[in-house]
Amino acid sequence: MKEIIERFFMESSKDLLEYLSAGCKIVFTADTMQYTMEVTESGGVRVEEGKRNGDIEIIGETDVLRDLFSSGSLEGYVDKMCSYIKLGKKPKLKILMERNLENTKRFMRNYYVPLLKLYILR
Amino acid sequence: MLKCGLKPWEEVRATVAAMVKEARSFEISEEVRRKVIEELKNAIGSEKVRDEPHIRSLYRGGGYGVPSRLVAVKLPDIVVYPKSVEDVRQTLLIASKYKIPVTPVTQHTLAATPIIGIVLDMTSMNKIIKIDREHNYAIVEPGVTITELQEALGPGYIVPKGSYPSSHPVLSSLACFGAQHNLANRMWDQVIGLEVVMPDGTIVYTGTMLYGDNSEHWSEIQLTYADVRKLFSPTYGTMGVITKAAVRVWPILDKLVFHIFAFKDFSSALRWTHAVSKSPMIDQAMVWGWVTVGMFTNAIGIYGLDWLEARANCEQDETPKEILPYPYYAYIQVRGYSEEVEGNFRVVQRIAKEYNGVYLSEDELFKWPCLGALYIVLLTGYGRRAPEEIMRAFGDKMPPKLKELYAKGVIPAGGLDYPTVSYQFVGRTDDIVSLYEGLKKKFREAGWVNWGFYSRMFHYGQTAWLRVFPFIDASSFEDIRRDAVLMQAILKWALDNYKVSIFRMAFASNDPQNPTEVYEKAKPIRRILRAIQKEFDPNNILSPLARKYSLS
Repeated sequence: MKEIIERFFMESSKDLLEYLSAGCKIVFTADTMQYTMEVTESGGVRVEEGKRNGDIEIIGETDVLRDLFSSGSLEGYVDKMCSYIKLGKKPKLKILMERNLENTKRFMRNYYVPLLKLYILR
Repeated sequence: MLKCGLKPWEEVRATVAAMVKEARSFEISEEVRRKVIEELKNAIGSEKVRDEPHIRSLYRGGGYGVPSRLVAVKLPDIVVYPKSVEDVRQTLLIASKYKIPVTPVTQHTLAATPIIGIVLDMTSMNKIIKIDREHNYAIVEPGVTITELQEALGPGYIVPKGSYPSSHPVLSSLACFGAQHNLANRMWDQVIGLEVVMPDGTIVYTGTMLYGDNSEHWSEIQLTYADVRKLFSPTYGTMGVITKAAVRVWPILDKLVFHIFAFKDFSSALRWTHAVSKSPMIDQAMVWGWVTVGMFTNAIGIYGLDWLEARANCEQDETPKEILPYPYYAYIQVRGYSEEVEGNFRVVQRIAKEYNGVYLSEDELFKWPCLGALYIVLLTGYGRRAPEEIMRAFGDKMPPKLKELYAKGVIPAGGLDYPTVSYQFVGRTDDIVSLYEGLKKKFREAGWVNWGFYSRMFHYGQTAWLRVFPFIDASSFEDIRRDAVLMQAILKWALDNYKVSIFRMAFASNDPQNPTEVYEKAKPIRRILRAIQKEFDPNNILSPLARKYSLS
């Protein structure tokens, strides 16, 4: 799973990285396993097992997340996400940041646009 | 019914592309532009004619909502600020002579089609000519705003204004491009009489003004000639330029109140608004979903990240319980003599029980910051209650966060500032309910688990109306285009599968896509309009790009 997530962000959906700033941390929870993806200063991503101070968390079934991140492109990912919405299996989004105005601004600045795509957040 | 007359959507889309292309390629030679500016300055005064880029850029067009910004292709060439009917007349005569398009506006960048040639900024004609409180009407010029008319009327009257800010001109939806609407349910028919300058300089009057102004009373009540008011509204300045209008104003009498009820489903909420609207006492009745309530009440300011999390996870019928207790809210605006208003309150409560509606008292509303804010939005937006009055009446009841934000002036929120593609439908109540349920599934398949909407109920329940506005991914030009195309496909699906009509598509989709282009049955009306245009506007100067009734 770690490699699949890494490959998705580094290869299949590289354009998405343009919208993610260095330091952004997203936790992907696939059933009981957790992976934290961090955007590095060099514009790449580092994925580690475990929940490591992420700002947001996307929680779904392992099969669903594996299938989503196996997509060959962002468009393919979005199509699959729509199918999972139809099946009632859309992963949940949890914002892990403390509730305050500064963090709301930080979320809008750092995560809103990537999530428009990654989560079809509208 | 109408479905067989629907043109292929690709053809409709092609007309938009053609319009944009034509706008891009429209050029006036520098020599002609100079000549026109000089003639205009000589005719109406140099201070009323401007062509500096920073002035022209205010009128670049683009319509309402992000996708229609695609038509904001270039700057107009000249901006004219008429102060009188004669200024408008002279401008149209000079434009006709040089065959230069003219677009009257009251909303700067909000025009729904590309603006080329001359912009006629009607906001500089802003006199209230007359107020007749005894007979409930006012005569205004196109630049008079809702606020200005309301202030002149005093506290005992309201001016219908739809969902839009009071800074918009009263006539903007009727007279000019940049249309918003100042209709509200049974207050649909606002115009009593019009003064219109045609492109050849002819001045047209309607109603009793046809007999001169001997009676000093302007009324639409006459049977000598056809009632042509609606030839000019809404045509957004494509038939003639409205320079004056007599419009209705509504006396509050003793009381103006708002009652908010909560419902578990859209169907019950809409059917309740239908049932109660049969009473002539209901000025307006709307249904708002939880997304719409949050959007217009600054839920993001009140709840921050919790609101964003709710928007991400909750479905259309599944309210975020910690933020809003029910998924659907319906409200009514009631106006009249005290005894009637009190009696009506008992009636609407009895009818609400039939639809399992729950009445939300002021105490209940102010337990929930967004519902308290909704009540304030209605009281101030439609009910003319001043902010200090609101603080005096409800300050002690307001939850702290709401009180803090209201004091800062950030309630109500910006509303439709969200990037959205918006469509509006009309039909029978049953069919609007079916459409809503269908759209819920269709939007879900396309990725939208929740979306904004509101309904209205016109003419004592004769017609139900639904505006839907799913928010879109506006992070790039291509994303906007993709979502706009997707929404267009959903619109076609809705029209193919449900017994509903389009209300208006101009804001989001531009004029060429309006039903006059789409439906074959509109051809005779277009012939009539074209004949008038040939007679009064042989050079087709009034917004030829709109193509609605264009000569070619």
